[in-house]
Amino acid sequence: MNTHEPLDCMNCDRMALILPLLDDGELDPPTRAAALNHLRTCEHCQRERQRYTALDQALRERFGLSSVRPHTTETIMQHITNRSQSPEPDAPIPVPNGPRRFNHISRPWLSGLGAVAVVTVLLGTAALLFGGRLGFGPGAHGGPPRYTFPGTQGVFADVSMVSPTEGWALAQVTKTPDGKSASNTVTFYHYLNGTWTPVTVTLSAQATNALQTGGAAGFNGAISMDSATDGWAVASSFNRGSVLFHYTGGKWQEVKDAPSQTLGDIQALSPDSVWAYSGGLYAISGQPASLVHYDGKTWTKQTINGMTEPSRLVSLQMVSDSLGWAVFSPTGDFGKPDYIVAHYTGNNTWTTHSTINAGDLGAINGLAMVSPDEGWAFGDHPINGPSSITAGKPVPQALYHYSNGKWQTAPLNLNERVSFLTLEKIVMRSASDGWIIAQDQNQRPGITASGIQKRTILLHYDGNAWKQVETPETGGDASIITDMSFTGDTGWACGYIAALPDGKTIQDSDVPSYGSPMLWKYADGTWTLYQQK
Amino acid sequence: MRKRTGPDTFLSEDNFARLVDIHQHRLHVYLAGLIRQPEQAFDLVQETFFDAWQAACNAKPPFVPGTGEADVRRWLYRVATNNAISMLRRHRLIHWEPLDDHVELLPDTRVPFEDHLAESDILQAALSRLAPQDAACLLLRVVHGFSAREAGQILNMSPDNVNTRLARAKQRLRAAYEQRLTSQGEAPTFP
Repeated sequence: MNTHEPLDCMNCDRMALILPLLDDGELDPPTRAAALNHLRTCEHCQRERQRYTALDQALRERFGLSSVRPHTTETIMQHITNRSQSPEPDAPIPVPNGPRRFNHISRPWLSGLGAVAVVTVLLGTAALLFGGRLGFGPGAHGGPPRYTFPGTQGVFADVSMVSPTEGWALAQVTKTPDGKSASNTVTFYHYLNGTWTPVTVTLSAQATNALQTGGAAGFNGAISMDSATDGWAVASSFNRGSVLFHYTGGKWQEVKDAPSQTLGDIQALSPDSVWAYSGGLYAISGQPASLVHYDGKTWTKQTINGMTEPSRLVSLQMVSDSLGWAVFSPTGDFGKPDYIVAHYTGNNTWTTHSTINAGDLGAINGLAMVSPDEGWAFGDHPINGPSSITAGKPVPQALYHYSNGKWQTAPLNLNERVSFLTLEKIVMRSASDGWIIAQDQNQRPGITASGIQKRTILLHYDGNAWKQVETPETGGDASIITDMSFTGDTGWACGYIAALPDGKTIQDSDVPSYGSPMLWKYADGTWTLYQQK
Repeated sequence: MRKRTGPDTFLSEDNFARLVDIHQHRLHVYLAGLIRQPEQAFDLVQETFFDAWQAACNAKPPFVPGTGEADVRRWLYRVATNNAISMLRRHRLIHWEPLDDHVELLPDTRVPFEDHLAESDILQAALSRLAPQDAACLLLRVVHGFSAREAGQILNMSPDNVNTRLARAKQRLRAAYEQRLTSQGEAPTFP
């Protein structure tokens, strides 16, 4: 550590910064020498040093080798064996990662561009150890699964419609109906005149590595079409990085000179105006929060007042070249309750619009502004207590409404008891038409699973209140919506359904291995399961 | 074991098992400190070695000839850290336990500060209040003996950043602890 100050100015204030590191042996020699010289005559700092020395020793004792019971190596090797094996003779390809989902917020309510823009935000999917026989709506539990693409295994990450008759969706397909599988592809589904058609893009070795499954992450993605002829997509693996794709000239191509290897979201307004960000979760990506803009030729980093390297950008909502929104945690630390809503007014200018206080220990996970005078945000508010109290308890969710110049909590109206609710996404089509994608999970006897094994719960806002709406039955077990996109009076939602084998012990991250990509269509005020003819 | 197709050139199954044997307990200790739940920490240990197994099967770095043991160790800690933070976020295990809930665990405040630290689970509670990356810096540097450079490689940050976070983490740990003692109506006693 180099303090970059004259060594002869060592005093107790400077020592306060140096003492925590004095025993670690990595201070530069002049600083260390000056510190030791100061210590010779300062009893206060001598006591301080003793405390840090004691702290180090206590940490080693409390968190040292004797702090946990050793397990056998054979246990781990057996786990590898189990994970390496296919769970069924006709088993899906193991996908060890649970999907991470992004929030997408459509913007036809302001843009008037016809196309749907999406705003994504990385979400934590709150859950403790539960499994669940899950359905999609009342009465779906345990029924035979109904598929959008029978025989296809995989998950949809995102969908972006450019018109009622055309759109694209981003998927990871782990097995096709003819039994083929490949780990070096990403699949785009093209909707045109009533039919979704898969378009497979083969990845480079570097991209394959970036998206390789493994760890506790999974396949994520964001896709944003600014027109029928131009669009962008980001596919990402939570642990390993992202891959950027550009649709132009009638085909999807991997972008080799992406502005970041850890992109979390992308939003295309036009071929000459594309926004993306990275560092949505600094602690995991290891990359600083960074917002970039593409002008058709180059990517340029943007500056938002108050957003620094460790900040955590959780939601971006670009409406036009003169209007946009972002919400971020300035410190990046969970538990710091103040989140800044930044307002883009064009010409690379961001101003602070407002601050959302998520409450003690709370976090903001999504934002959807309707106008500078009205908007919605959601987050969570973990229980304030020790593990003995919080373990297994749902994390209270919070919905915030911005009106009359301030953020206030707003109620959610559910029709049923939801054991473990998490708010995942908010989509505001107008000030009086919005959707929230939420999830629930239940326990399923005989299965050990956690986290993502859930059913989706939809809530609709009619201008007065948020109310739960009926969702179509799909049967099967986990049934998840990951995103939705609207154009005009119609819309599409994408996600996956998983039918879990009875009697198996699986982990939450295994659930997508049993998944099949799913689509739901919204028309005439009703969601219906889409089944490809 | 059955149907486990492992690396057959550079790293045999036996060698991989030895690798597990060398690192698994330390990784478990590290992850238990980070997420505070020993059983779930062991799940993460298994996930980490499964990741390693896959990487080894595909002959990906650091599981290639010529790689040093230190590189493999750092790789394991890096993947373990990522898995842990991912799980913390997904499962909302980051809930910053307030120290007030550990009143019954408080030590006798008339004994020196150093003694309190050694005997109290309040240290665990204080650690849980840190940002995960700060806690990781602390554990890697102080408990597991990684240099700032090595910790930086594991956490994908510069050595200076590691030291900054380390200093901050120690200051916060101390502050949280002393605040708790003071709230009991007695000033912390120090030598």
